[in-house]
Amino acid sequence: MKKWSSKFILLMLGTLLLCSSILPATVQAEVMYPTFTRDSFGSIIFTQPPYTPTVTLGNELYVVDEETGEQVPSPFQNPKDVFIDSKDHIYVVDTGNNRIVHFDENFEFIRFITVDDSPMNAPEGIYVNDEGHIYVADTGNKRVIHLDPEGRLVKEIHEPASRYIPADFKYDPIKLVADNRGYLYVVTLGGYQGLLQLDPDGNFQSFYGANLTEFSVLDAIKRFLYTEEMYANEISKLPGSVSNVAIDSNGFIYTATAGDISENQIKRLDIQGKNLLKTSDELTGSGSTLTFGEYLRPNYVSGRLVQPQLIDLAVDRNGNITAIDRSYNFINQYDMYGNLLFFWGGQSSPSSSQLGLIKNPVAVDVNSRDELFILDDQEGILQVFELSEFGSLVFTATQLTNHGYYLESEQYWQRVLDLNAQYAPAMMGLAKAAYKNEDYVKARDLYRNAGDQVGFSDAFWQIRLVWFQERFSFFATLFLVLGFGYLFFGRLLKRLSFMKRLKEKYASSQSKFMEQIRHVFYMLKHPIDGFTALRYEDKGSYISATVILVIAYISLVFQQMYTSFAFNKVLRSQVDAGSILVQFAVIWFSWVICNYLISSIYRGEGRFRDVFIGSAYALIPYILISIPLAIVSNALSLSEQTIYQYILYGLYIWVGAMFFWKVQSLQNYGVGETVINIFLSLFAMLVLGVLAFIIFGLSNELRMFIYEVYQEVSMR
Amino acid sequence: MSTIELKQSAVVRRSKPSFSARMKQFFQEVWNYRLSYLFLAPFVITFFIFIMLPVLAAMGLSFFYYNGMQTPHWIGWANYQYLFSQDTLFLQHALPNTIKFAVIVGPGGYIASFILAWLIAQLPDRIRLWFVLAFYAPSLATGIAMSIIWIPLLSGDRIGYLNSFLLTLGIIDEPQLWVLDKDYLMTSMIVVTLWSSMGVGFLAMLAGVLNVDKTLHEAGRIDGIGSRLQEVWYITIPAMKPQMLFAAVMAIVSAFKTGHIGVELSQSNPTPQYAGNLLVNHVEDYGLIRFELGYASAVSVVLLIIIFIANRLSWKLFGTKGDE
Repeated sequence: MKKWSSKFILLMLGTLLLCSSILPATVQAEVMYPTFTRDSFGSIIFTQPPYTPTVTLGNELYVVDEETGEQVPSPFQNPKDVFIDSKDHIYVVDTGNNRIVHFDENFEFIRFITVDDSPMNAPEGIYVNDEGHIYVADTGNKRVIHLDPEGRLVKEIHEPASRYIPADFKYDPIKLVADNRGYLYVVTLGGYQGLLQLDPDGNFQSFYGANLTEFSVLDAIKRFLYTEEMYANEISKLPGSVSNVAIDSNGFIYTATAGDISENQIKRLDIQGKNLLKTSDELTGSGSTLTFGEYLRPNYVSGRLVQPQLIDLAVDRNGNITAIDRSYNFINQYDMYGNLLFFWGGQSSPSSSQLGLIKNPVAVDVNSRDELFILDDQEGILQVFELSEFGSLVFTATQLTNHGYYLESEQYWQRVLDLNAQYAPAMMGLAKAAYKNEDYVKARDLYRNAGDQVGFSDAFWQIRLVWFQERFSFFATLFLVLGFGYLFFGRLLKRLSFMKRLKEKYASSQSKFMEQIRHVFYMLKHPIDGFTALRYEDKGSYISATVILVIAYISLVFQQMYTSFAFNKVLRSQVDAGSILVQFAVIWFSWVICNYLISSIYRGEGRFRDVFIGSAYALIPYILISIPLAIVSNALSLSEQTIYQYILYGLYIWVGAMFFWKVQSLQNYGVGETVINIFLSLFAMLVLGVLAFIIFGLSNELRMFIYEVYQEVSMR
Repeated sequence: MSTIELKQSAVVRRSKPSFSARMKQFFQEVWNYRLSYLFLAPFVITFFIFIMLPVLAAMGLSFFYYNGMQTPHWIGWANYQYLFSQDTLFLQHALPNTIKFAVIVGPGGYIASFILAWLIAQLPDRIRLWFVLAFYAPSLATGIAMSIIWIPLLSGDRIGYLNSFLLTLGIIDEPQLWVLDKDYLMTSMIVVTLWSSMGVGFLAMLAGVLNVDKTLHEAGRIDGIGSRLQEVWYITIPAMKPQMLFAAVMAIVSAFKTGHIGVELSQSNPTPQYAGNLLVNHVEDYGLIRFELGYASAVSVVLLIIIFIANRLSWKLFGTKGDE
C-alpha cells in the first residue's frame, strides 16, 4: 500500500500542469478508478477522469487527552455530512464523536465545534449560512440547533406543533438547508411527506417538494379489482422519501430521493415545490421526466432491479449536479439540465485503501474552486478531488453552452473532442455552435453523431430551405410547365401509350418465372384470390419465394441504412447486415414452421410448401413501399413526420392484413378461425423461442461438463 | 409512303372549315337553341360573378402587391417565392399542421362515416331516423356545441370536465391545458372535428348503403358469400361507389377548408405558438388582419392547388372507370 503525501501529489500536479501547458492534451494523471460516460446512443464508454484526487482530510486530527494532557489521535468516527460554506470553509459532521470539525479553505484544521452546554447526540446534517451561522440536525436529540459563528447555542428547534402534521410523523431531522429568508428545509428520516419547511422562528410552514408515488399498471388493476378489505391488506405504497437536500446560489432547492423509485431521483424545486428538472421544451416547460443514477450492469435481488440510491448531492456554482449513489457506489455528475457528464467509482475492494478510491460514500460537496469533497464513512476520511484538465474543459464548455454562448464554447468543445472523440456532450455543444454559426451541413452531421434527432431535423430543415431558395425560379417554371403539360397533353400522352405497348410485350412473355412475377402484382389488388391461386393454380414456386425473400431482406437493410436519421436513430456505419439477416431469418422461419404446425393440427388445408411460399409473398407490400419510403424520408424533416408515419403504419397494417389473408385463404379458414390460428402460431413461436433457449443453454452446460471431465482426466 | 401521308393531311386540311365559318356556325347553333341558353343563363351568370370571377381574381391578384388601398402593382412570382422560401410561419406551422390535420381528419372522418352509415343502415326503419339525426346534428350545430360542450369539457382548470374526470381516476395529477398547450391543441382540434364530421358525406353514404339492391345480397349469399365483411367488401362498396366518391371529395375539401376550430377552441388568435395554425388561418391572417391581399391570394391559390390534387387522387381511387 502506498501512502502518497499530499506534497508529492501537488508536485506531480504542478509538473502536470506545466507539461499540459507545453504539450496540451497529452498527459493525463493516472487515477485508481475508471470513469465512464454514455455516448450518444446510450452505450457506456470510458472517458478521461474529470477529477484527480489530491488529499485526504480527517486522518490527522488530535485531541488533548484530559488525564495525561497528551495529544491523542482522534480520527473521524462514522462521519455523516460535509458542508462547504461561502468562504470555502469545510465543516464535517463527525457523528460518532458528536462534534463538528471545522477546516479552513486551505484544508487546515481550525476547531472542533461541540456545544458544551447542550451536547449534541449523533448529529447527521449541517448547514452554514453566509454570515457563518451554523444549523445542525442533531438527530439523536430530535432537534435542530442554531449556533452563532462562534459555536454558541442560539436556538433549539424541536418538533413544531401544527394540526397539519400527521400524527404518525416522526421528527428525526437528518439533513437541512436554509434559504435567504432564514426558512429551514429539514429532511426527516423516512419522511415521505417531503421536506419540512420551518420559518425562522421554528414554526411549521408546510411540507415542501413531496415525491409522487409510482403507480404501475398492476397497481391500477389491483385497485380496480380488489375489494376494500383486500386492498387494505396490500403493502401500502409510499412515495420515495427525500434522502438529502442542497441549495444553489440562486436559491433553488434540490432534493435527492432514495427508495424504490426509477425516475426523478434528483429534483430542482421551484417556490411551489414543483420539479423543474425535466427534459423540457424551451418555451412551455412541458416535458418528460429524467432518470438519475448510473450503473454498468444492473444488479437484481430476488428478481427485482436494485435501484440506485442517491443519498447526497451537491450543486456547484454553475449548476452542475454531483450525486452519490450508495447501492452502486458511483459518483454521478450531471449538468444543469440533468444531462449526464460523467460517472465514476464503483465497487472497490474492501481490503485496500488508496487515494481516490471510495468505499462507502455518504456525503459530497463542492467549493468555489470546483474541488470536490467526498466523505467516506467506512474509512472515516474526507477525500478531496480537483478538476483535471479534461474536467475543467468540459465544465467551462458546458457552462458556456448552457448559457447560450455557443460560439464561445466551440474551442473548448473542440479540445474536449480531441481528447475523447466519442464524448456526446462535446458533439452536442459543437453542433449547437455550428447551427448558431449557420453552418447547417456541419451542424447536421454533428447532430447525427450526437444522436439528436430533433437537432438533426432542424439543421436539415434549414439546409433544405436554402437549397429550395436557390432554385425557386427553376421549381416555379417546372411546376407551370408540368401543370400546363398535364392539362393540355395528358390525353395525347395516353394515346401515345408506350406503357401499354410495354405491358403487352410483358404480358406476352410465356416463361413460367415471368408469370409468377406477374402474379405478384395481381396479388396486390386481389390478395385473397391471389393466395388461393398460389395454392391451386401453381402460381408460385420455391424459387420465386426465395427471390422475394432475398429482396425483402435487401429492402430491410436498405431501410435501416438509408432512412433519414430524423426517423431512424441509427448511424449508417452501425448497421449490421449480418445480425439483421439472422433476426429476419429466425423470425420468418419460426413463423413458417409454427404456422404450418399449428395449421396442420387445426383443420388447415395448406401444405408446408404453401405456407412457405405464401409467407414470402405476404412481404410484397413491404418490398414495394419501404424502399421508396426510405428514399423519400431523406427529403422530410420532423415537421413532416405525420406523412412518414402515416405511410409507415399503413404499410404495417397492409403487411399484417396480407399475412391474415394468407392464413385465411391457404388454409381455407373463416375469419374467427384465422384469428385463433394466428394467435396460436405466435404463441407457438414464443414456446419455440423458450425451447431453443433452454436447449442451447443446457447443451452449453453439457459441453462445459464434458470439457471439464476431459481436462480433469488429461491433467491427472 | 410519304406521298400518301401528304395526301391525307391535305384531305384533312381541306375538310376543315375556316375559323370565321366555324364561329358563324357556332353562333347559329346557339341562336337555334336560344331558349335552353336562356334557362341556363341565371345560373351561368351568378356562377361566373360569384365563383369564377373571384377565383380568377385571386389567381391574378396573387401576382400583385395589393394592400386594399393603393393600386395593386405587379411583382410577378415574388409572393410565391416569399411563401415557399422565407415565410417560416407557413413552412413551419401552417403547412405541416394542415397536412397533419387533413391526413387524419379526412380519411378518419371518411372511414368513421362509412362505418356509422353501415351500422345505422342495419337498424330497423323506425329508430334509424333518430340515430341519423343524432349523428348529423353535430355538423349542423358546431358553433353552439362548441360553447356548451367542448369549451367546458376541455377547460384547462381543475373543474374542466375532462380534467376533473381524469383527476378523479388518478390518471393525471395536475390539470392539463387541453386547448392552450401546444402539444395538446392539435389533438383536441382533431377530436372535435372528427366528432362533427358526420355531415353531408355521411348522409350520402347512408343513402348509398340503403340504396344497395337487396337482391344483390341474396345473389351473393347463393354464390357463397360467408360473412358480413365479405358482403360489405364485394357488394356494398362496389354498389355505392358514386356516393363513396362524393363523400371522399366532401371529406377532403372540408378537412382542408377547416380553419376556425383552433381559434374557437383556444379562444385566441393566433393559436398558442401557432400550434393550431392552418392554411385558412394563414390566409385570414394576411388577408383580413395584415391587409396584404396579394399575398393572401397567393396562399389561397396554393390551398386551391392542394385541394385540387387531393381531389384528383380521390377520383383515381374511387372514381368509376369505363369498364366498371
